[in-house]
Amino acid sequence: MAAGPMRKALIADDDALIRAMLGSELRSLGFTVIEAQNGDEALELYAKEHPDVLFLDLLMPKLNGLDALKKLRADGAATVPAVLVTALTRDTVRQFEVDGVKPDAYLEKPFRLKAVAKIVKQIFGDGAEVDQAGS
Amino acid sequence: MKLSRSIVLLVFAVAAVPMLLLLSVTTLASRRALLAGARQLVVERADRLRLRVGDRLDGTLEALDAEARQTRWQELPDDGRLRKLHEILAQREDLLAVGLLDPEGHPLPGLAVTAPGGDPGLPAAEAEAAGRVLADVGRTTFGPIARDAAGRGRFIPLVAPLPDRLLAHGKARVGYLTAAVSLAGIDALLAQRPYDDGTEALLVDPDGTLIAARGPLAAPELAAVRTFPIVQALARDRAGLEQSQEVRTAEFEMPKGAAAIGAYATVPTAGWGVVVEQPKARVLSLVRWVQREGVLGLALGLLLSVVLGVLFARSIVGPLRRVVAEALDISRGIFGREIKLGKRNELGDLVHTFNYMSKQLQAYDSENRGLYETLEKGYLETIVALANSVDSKDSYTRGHSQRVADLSVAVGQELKLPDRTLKHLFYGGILHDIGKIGIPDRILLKQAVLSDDEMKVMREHPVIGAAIVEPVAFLAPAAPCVRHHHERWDGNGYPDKLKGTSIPLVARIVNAADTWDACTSTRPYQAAMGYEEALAVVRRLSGAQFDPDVVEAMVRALEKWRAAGRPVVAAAGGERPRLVVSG
Repeated sequence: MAAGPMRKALIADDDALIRAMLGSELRSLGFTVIEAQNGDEALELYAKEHPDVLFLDLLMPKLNGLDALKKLRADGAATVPAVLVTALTRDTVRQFEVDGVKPDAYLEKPFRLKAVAKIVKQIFGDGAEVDQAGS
Repeated sequence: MKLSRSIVLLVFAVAAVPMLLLLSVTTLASRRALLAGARQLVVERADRLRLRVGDRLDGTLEALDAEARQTRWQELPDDGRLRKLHEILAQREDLLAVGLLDPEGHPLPGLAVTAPGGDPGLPAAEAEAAGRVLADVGRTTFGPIARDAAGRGRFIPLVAPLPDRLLAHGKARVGYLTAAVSLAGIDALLAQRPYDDGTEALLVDPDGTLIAARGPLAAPELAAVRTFPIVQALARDRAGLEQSQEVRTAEFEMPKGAAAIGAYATVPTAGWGVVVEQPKARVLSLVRWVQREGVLGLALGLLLSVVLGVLFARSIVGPLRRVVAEALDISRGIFGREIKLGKRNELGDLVHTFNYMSKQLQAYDSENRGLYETLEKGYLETIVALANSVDSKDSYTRGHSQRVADLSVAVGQELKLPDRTLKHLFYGGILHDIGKIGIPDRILLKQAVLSDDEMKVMREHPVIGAAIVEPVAFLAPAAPCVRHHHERWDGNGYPDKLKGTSIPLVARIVNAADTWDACTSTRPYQAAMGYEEALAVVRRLSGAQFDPDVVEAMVRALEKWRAAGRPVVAAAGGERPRLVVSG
């Protein structure tokens, strides 16, 4: 088990396969994983669980990833790091951006699991790896 | 123009233009280079030939000149002179005969020698030929080509004046040393294996007569050498060329009109000319090869570009077509169908976004449908409650509207009416008596036979009902049903006395179902009939009150209900049927 409290990751994606893959990789990196199937659920879950990092699919039902992020940022979740998971090219993603709200990182579908670890490392520095070593 | 065609054309043009340019530039450049090379080559060949012929002639001339100067011919006795002549002949292979002439140019009898095996008449011919050139001879000189006495062999006469020919001596005076020089050496120079590139080399004398040729031209063509444009150019420029000893080059026509690159020059010694020509066609054969291969390569390249263009066009047009098909589906109300395209580019983005839009539309659509259905259901519930309240005024008619509606729908199903019409039929059945709300209770609930006036009021209920239903948009289609459910097939009904098929079908159905329910219910004026009895009543009225087709369908529907164990008579169960809103 990790020495400190485990970090919590929220995955919001309507694709169960992506949630499963991303979830298992994040667990192996020492995260507790909570899952939402759409943008609305993601907002609710954030309010209840206050995860440490968000993995938001762009094209998901009800509220797309960037709209959800915009709401979160407006609702006071100003600093929680958010990773946008998308199959779209960066230029097209830019068209989805509202009021200059941008994710902290992009995970491009289809992704390799290594890319997930890399992004986690980029966000949390080496800490995540220490957690993993301790778990 | 179609996008795919534009793409293919564009790719084709992008490939074709540079390839064509490259091919034509290559062709032009190689043509220029080849022609320049050919010009240089003919010049070199002409120069080499000119010098080699000149060297050979010079050698002979200098040798004889030396003999003429160094031998003391005037002092030698005749046998000494003869011996010396033999010596000279033996020393030089190219001499056919040598002899001595007197200062006037006549042969000196006995002082002529012929090479072994040579023509015995040659010295005489040689002396004669030499004699013809003596007039202007002050130095050793070749004469024009001559033939031997028999006219067979050709030779060049060579005349060398003796330095002391004009001085007086005691003995018979000698004026000139002469020789007949063989053409064999010159012939040998040119008779090497012909050039393999179509080049023709000619050696001509000052008259333009052919001395020797090397090349592919045959005898009949060579007979006309004098008429060759290049030979004529040589004759024209002779004086200048002898002066400058240069080689000139230009383009000429060869026999048969072929264009050629030519070079011409004079031979230093004998005043002869050298001509070298190469047909341009042969020079440019490499260009034609380049062109042929180039065109083949071009064709292959263009084919490849078309294939690539088609593949590229498909990769773009295919997804676009699928997006169009998807858009059409959406326009027809089919949402959420997904296009699969694994590309990470703008097209892929279009497809992903489009799929997303389709799914979102589906979500909005089902949300809207849900809202609409809830609204409609709420509306209907209100209306049903209203109809129910009318039914409930009279304990005899409880559940009547619901039963009429159910039976009407069953009849409509037997008649294979569309779902929309069945829905209207249901509304019509539920609401057919809604107009009774406007009938005073004293008439509506009267337990005795109605007077004519009362009946008149009672008979207003279909019109009142239609007026209630009509303004409500989603109930309006049920209005004809409500208005006409008391019309009769024979035209004796009310309110409009419609007859036969001019009565709306839905109204005919509700009329039959209404009567069936009335017959099988207990009413103030009658006891409830049994199934068979009611059936007999309905059958009797078929064609009079009822549309026979509707009666048939109703009987079928009731039989099915009976078979399924469902109550077919209103009073049978005794229990009050629950009013349920459906369908």
